[in-house]
Amino acid sequence: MRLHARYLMLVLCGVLAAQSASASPETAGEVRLGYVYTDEVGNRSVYQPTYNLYEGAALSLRDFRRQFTSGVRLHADLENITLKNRRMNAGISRSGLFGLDLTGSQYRRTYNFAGDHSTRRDQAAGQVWIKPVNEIKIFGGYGLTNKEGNIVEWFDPGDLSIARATDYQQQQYHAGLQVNHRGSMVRTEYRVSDFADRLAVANDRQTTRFRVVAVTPLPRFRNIQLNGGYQHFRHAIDALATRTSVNTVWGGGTWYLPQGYSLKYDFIFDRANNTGDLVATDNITQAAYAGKVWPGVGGVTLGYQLKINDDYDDEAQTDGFISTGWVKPHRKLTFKGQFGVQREEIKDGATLTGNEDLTRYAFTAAYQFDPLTLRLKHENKKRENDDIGSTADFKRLSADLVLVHRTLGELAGSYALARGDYDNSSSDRFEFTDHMLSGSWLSPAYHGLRGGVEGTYYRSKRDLNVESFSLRLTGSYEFIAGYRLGAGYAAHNFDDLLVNDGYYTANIVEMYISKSLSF
Amino acid sequence: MFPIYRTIGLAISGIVLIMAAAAVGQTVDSETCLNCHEGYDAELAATAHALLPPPHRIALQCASCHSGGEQHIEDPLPTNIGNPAALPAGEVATLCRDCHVPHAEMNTTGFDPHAAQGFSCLSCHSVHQGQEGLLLDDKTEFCGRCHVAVKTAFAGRSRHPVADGVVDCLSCHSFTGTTEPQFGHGASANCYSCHPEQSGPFIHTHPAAISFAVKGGGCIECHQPHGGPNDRLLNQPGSTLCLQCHGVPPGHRTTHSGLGLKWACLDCHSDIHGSNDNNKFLDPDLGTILFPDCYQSGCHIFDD
Repeated sequence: MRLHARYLMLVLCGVLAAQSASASPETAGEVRLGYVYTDEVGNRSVYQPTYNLYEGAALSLRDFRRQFTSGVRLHADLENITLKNRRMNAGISRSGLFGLDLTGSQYRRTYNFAGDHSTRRDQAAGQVWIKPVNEIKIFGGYGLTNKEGNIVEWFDPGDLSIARATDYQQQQYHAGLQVNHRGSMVRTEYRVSDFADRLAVANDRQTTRFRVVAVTPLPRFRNIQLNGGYQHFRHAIDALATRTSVNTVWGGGTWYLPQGYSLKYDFIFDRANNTGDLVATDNITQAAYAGKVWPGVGGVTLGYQLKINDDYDDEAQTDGFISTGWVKPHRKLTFKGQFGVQREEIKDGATLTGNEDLTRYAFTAAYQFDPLTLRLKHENKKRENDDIGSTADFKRLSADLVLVHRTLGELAGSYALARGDYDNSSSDRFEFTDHMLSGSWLSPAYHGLRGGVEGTYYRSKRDLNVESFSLRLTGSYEFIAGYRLGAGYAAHNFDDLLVNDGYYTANIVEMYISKSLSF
Repeated sequence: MFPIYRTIGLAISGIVLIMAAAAVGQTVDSETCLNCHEGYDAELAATAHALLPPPHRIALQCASCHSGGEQHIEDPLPTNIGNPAALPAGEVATLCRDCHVPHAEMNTTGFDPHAAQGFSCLSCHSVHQGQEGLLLDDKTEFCGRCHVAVKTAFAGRSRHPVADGVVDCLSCHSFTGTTEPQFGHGASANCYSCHPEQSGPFIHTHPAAISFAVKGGGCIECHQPHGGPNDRLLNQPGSTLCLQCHGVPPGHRTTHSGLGLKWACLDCHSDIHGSNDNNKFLDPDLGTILFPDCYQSGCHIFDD
């Protein structure tokens, strides 16, 4: 209750600040007070979009922004501060001088039919930066996460409910320094993460990361950009004497040549040490790219990548090739495409999955003319592990349109067809075909009235038999300048037709009154 | 004694040099631009690019981004003024780089498909006005404008809570402000910051779950990070996921196996990310938890 009072005070201060600045055109935002009703039937654990919904009075301060003549800016987005799914973001900053950001969120995850086994995650974080001079930035931050509740083990066979309690806290700190000068930069930062398991102290662990990066144009050749960095990562559970440490070094450069040509080279060396089964590994990656851009007309990039993964018992080498390009035959029409292949070969030793081939391509065509945008996309990702007879083949075709019109409002629609075929190593197959249709329409304002509708229909067939839809209707009326009454209704439905208790339906109603802070 | 005429001469020379240098570097001031382009100052005032006069630290002028002002004043054709929106992506990044050094590095480190396909800073950011971070649209909705298929994945049965506002695209995809590689150990480290309980390090680690020792390994080897039709963001439901890499061991083709009536691999191998107890990733309390049910359910009797 005390927490709610604090949040209410925060909103009140924001509103008063806005009111006192009512003559200023730089103040904007909305205060909203409403009530959310929920009606749920079925299995609470099968449909994630409504996990974090709560019934009750909801107070929000939305998209509040205030600009002072001194250049100081305030912003706040405090959503549902009276409910248990509150989400908040607020900050103060002045360009080139300082910034402070505070965030907080709460999230519930439900694990069983009745919804009584669930976890709650509360997160809060703050970040601050200051620039004592233009070239130097000092930054730091702190984050706190608490998670508690009961997790039901995996697939909850039958009526047996195996719940495992979880209760932990994680604190994260970071601090760093960045120095800029005429397009060059050096940044160093140190991050610590402390995980404390309240149920088993032996699980307490600490992660530390130190990183330094540098980027600079080459002196006297500013069309050549160089970059590099080093990172030390350490992750350890002291009570069990288990530890992973990774040292990574990387570097590279880009050379912008005349007439739109460019060349790029990158390398990464990564050495990991581990106290467990997987003792040590070296990862070495090198990549080179060449590109050409015809301004406003098109561009093409070709690249080759060589990766070596060496864990001393086994060694795998991967050769990869990638090409990507775009062309605008007309200012309203754009074609884009990318194609990549990658082959991993076991050079030494033997691994469970053996040699692996990856192929990926994607093509997009977009036609953009005011007020309509149309887009078609086709993509395919394929993985083959011939040694164990395992393949994964995923294809997707999607189409979408967006229409923004002064009298017709904003209309958007999309359809995606996805198909997956998996051959598993034990000769079992898994196949699915998914259809996803979604659309939304937001009306233009008409005598203070505004309405909208949005919906999604999802259907998965073949080895899955899942159907779900959500529909949301909204409407609002500005009864006095700056004051608005609104209502929303949302229906959610989910059916897993292969599982007896895999069904869920929810009806959500929200009513509110809002006051605009735009003057 | 230093001759007075030499002192005066040096001073005059210095003043002349300073004035000459100032004249060379002189550009059209913003007041001149605003005589014709009314309202741009008010528009910019709500952004980090506000045209604040000295002594403000960042004293931006229209000419800071738009070159060729003198020619434009003489002949105010749109083509006579530098327009960053008409520049190739690389040149826009170079222009923005002088102030936004870390952000411009997305074009110089690693392979970025956005840069390779002609997207510039201005494809996502509006210099004159915009949402938080001067994005063209709300950052949750923004990426979904082009990545429609990914956006629809967030409507799936299991998904990351983007629609709830708890995370957004940039929580995982750091396009700007990072020069470190986004693969190798880095990919799973993203996941660990919110899911530390799964991060280990374990005495016995499932190789697929870590990204440093097995090429292609890491969280996304089994999980769809955006969303999908299967529980817990898994690529495939139940045991079929495990069977991508593993055959069914001898003795497991019973009603207990995922291919049988009831039990999935993960019901017993529940510590699948790693275990400090056994290298089969079995629940260490399996006997206590499971065996009573074997008898209570009536399938087995104590004499079995």
